[in-house]
Amino acid sequence: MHIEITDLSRYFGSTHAVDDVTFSFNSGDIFGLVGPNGAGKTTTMRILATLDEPTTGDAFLDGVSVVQEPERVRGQIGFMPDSLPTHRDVSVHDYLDFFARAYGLRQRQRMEAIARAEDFTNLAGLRHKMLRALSKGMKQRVSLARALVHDPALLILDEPAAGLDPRARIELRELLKALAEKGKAILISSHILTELSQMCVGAAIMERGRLVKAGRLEDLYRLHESADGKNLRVVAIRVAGDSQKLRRMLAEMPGVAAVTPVGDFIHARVQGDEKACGELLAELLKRGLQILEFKQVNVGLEDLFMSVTKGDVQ
Amino acid sequence: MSVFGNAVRFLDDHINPVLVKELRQAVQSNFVTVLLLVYLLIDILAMMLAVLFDHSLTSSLHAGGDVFMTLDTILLGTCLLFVPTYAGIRLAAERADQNVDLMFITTIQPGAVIWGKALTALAIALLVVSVCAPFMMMTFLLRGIDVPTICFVVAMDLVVVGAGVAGALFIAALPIRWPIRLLLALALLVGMVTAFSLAISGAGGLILWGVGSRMASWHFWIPTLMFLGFILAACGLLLFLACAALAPQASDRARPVRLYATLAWALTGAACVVVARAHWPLGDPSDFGRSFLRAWANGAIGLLAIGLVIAGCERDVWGLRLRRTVPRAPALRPFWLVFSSGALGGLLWTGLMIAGTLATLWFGMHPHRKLMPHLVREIHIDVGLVCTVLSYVLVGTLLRDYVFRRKVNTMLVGALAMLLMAAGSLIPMLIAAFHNPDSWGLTDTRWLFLNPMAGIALETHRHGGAAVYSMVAVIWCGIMVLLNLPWAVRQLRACRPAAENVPLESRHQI
Repeated sequence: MHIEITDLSRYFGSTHAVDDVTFSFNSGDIFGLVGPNGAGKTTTMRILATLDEPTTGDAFLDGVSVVQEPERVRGQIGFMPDSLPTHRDVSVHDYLDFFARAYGLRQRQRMEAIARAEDFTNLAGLRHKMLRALSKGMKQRVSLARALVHDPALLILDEPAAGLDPRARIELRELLKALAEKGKAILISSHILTELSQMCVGAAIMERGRLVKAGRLEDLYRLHESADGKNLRVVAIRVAGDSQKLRRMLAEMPGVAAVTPVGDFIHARVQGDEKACGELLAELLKRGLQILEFKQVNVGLEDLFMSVTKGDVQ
Repeated sequence: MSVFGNAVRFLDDHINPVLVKELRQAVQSNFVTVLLLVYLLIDILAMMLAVLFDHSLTSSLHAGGDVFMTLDTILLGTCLLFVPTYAGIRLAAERADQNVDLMFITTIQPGAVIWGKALTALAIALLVVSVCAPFMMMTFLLRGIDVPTICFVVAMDLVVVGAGVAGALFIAALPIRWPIRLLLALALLVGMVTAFSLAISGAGGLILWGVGSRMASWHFWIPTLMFLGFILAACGLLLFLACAALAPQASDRARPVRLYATLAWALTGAACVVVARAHWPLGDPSDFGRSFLRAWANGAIGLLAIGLVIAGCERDVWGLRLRRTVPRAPALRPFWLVFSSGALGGLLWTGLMIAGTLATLWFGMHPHRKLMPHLVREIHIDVGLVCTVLSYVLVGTLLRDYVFRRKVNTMLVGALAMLLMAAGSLIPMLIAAFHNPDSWGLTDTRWLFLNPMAGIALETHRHGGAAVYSMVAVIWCGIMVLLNLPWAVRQLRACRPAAENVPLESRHQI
C-alpha cells in the first residue's frame, strides 16, 4: 500500500492547523509524524483517518481518496487517537466485539479477530473487565486492540506511548515493529523522539501547521550533516556539575550550530571535520570545564528536530 | 448445527451492531436501571394511593379509566421526556466536533447507525411500557375502560415517543454548533409538550368513546391510519435526513432523502385523494378525507418551502465522486440532476414537488364546486409563500456569486436567505409602526409584501389580497430566476460524466 498526502490544508477560521502538507510512505514502513504541540499532527492524522475533512488537498491510499471515498478506505485504516476510549459501561470484549461487527466481520471471523487482537495486546486476561475499571495503560492497549481488530493495512497512532510505563513502552515498540514486519504501514506521532528514531524508517517534521522536513530518516540525516554544502559533525559532551554553563559556552562559540540537551549529554553541531571537533574539545578544556565524556555521535531525530524547528506555537 | 442454531447464528451476524452495543450499554448503565426502578415505584405508589384512598373506586363506573389516565400520563411523560433525550444526547456526544466516536470511521453505514439508535430508543420505551403494562391492564378490572382502548392508547403513546426519538436523532445528527442545537432541542421540547397534551386529551376522549365498540367502523380506521401514515412518513423523513447528515460530505447525500420524500409524498397524497374522492359503503368519510388532503397539501408546502432554503445551501460544483455517477446517456441526466446533491437540482426537485402538490390538491378537491373559492385562495397563499421563499434563496445565491465571488461556503446562501427573510418581514413592519404606532402597520398591507406568510394576512384584510400578493411574488421570483440564469447554466453545463483522467486539482473539490 502507498499512502500519499498531497497539498493538505485544514483551516479553522484564521488558524491554519495544517497548511499545504505533502508526504508519502509505504507498507512495511513505520513513519513518524513529529512536531511541537499545535503543529497540526493530530489534525493531519484525523483527516487521514476520515474523521475530519480538509479545507483543500487530499490524501490517498493506493490512489483512493479519503475525501471523496471515505467509505472505501475505512476498512483499510486502524486509528488509535490520543484520547482513551470513552465508553464506560462496556467490557473489553464487548467493546472489541462492537467494532468487529461494525467492520462487518461475521461469526467465526469475528471471534478469531477479537481473540487475535486481545492476544496481541495482552488483554486476554482482562476481556470481561469493564473499561471504566482499567488503568490508563490498559485502556491504551484496548485502543490499540480496537485499531487492530479488523486487520487494517494502515495504522494511524496518535501518541500511542503517552502515559505508558517504561515496560509497556518497550512492549509497544516491539509490537509496532512486529506489525511493520507483517507489512502494515504505520503512521505514528510521539514526543519521545529517541523512541521514534529507533523504530521509524521515515519522518515528517511539522511546525505551525507547515511541513518543515519529510523523508526517509537516513536521507534527512545525510542532508542535515551536509547542510549549506559544509561538513557537519555532532558531538555529545558530558560534563561534571552544571551543564548550563557548557550550553552557554557552546552557544557563544563560532562554528557551533544547534545545541541540544539529550539525556545527560549536550549535543552540539560542529561545522567542519574531526579536526574542528578536536579544536572544540581543546577550547572547552582551556576554559576549565571538567569534561567526563566527549564523543562524536550520529545525527539523531532529536538533533534534526531541534535544528529545523523554531519552537513556534500557534 | 440445528436449524435453531443456524437461525440464532444468522440473527447474531445480521443484527444491527449499534443496537447490540447500545442495549449492552443500557443494561450495564445505572441510568436505565434507575429509571425503570423509579418508574416501577411510581406505578406501585399510584395504584396503592388509588386503591387505598379513592373511596369512589368501588362505586364509580369510570374508576378504571381514571386510574388508567393517571398511569398513562406518567408513562407518556416519562417516555417522552427521557427516551428521546437519552437517544439524542448520546448521538450528539458521539458526533461532537473534537471527540467524534470512532464508530463513525468504521465501515458501518449512516443508515445502520441511525436505525440502531432508533431501535434502541424504542426498545427502552418498550421496557418502560412493559413495567407499566401489568398495572394498566389491571385498570380493566376497575371498570370504565376496555382492553382494546388500553392497547390502542399504549400503541399511540409509542408512536408519539417514536416521533420524539426521530426528532431528537435528527437534531443530534446535524453538523451544527451547540447553541443552535440547543435552540432546536428547545423547539423539539415545545413540540413534544404539545404532542403530550394532544395525546393525553386524545386518550381521555378514547376512554370515554371506547375503542372496542368502534373497531368495525371506517370512521375509526381511516383517520387512525391516515394519522399513523402522516406521523410515520414524517418520522421516516427525519431519520433519512439524519442519515444524510452523517454521510460523508462528498457523497450523494440528497438522493436517498429525495427518493424517500418523493415516495412518501406520493403514497400519502394518493391515500388522501382516494379518501377524499371515494364513496364508502359505511357512511361517507370524504369530508374528513378532504380535510386530510388540505392538511397534507399545506404540510407538504410548508416542508417544501423549508426544502427550498436547504436546496440553496447545497453544492453548486460537483466533486469527482458525484460526477462519476452522471449517466452517459444525455436523456437520463435530467433525472440525475433532479435527484442528486446539488443546488440547482434541489431547487428543481422542490419546484416539481410544489407543482405536484398544488395539482394534487386541485385534482383531489375539484369535484366539490362549493369549495372552489377557498381552494383558489389557498393556492394563491401557497404560491405566494413558495415564490417569496425561492426569491430570498435566489437573492442569497446571487449575493454569493457576485458579492462574495463564490469564495464562501454554499451554506451562506441559506443563512443569507434566512437573514433577508427575517429582515424583509420585520423591518417594513417596524417602519410602518414608526409611521402609525397604533396599528403596527398592519392596516397598510403594502408593508407586508416581503413577508412569506403575507398571503394569509392580506386575504384576511381584503378579498383578493392573496391573489395580488401571489402575483407580486411570482414577478419577483421570475426576475430572480432570470438574474440567476448564468448560475443555473453553469451547473447544467457541468452536469456531464467525469473524464477518465481527472486532473488532481479537481479531485480536491468536494
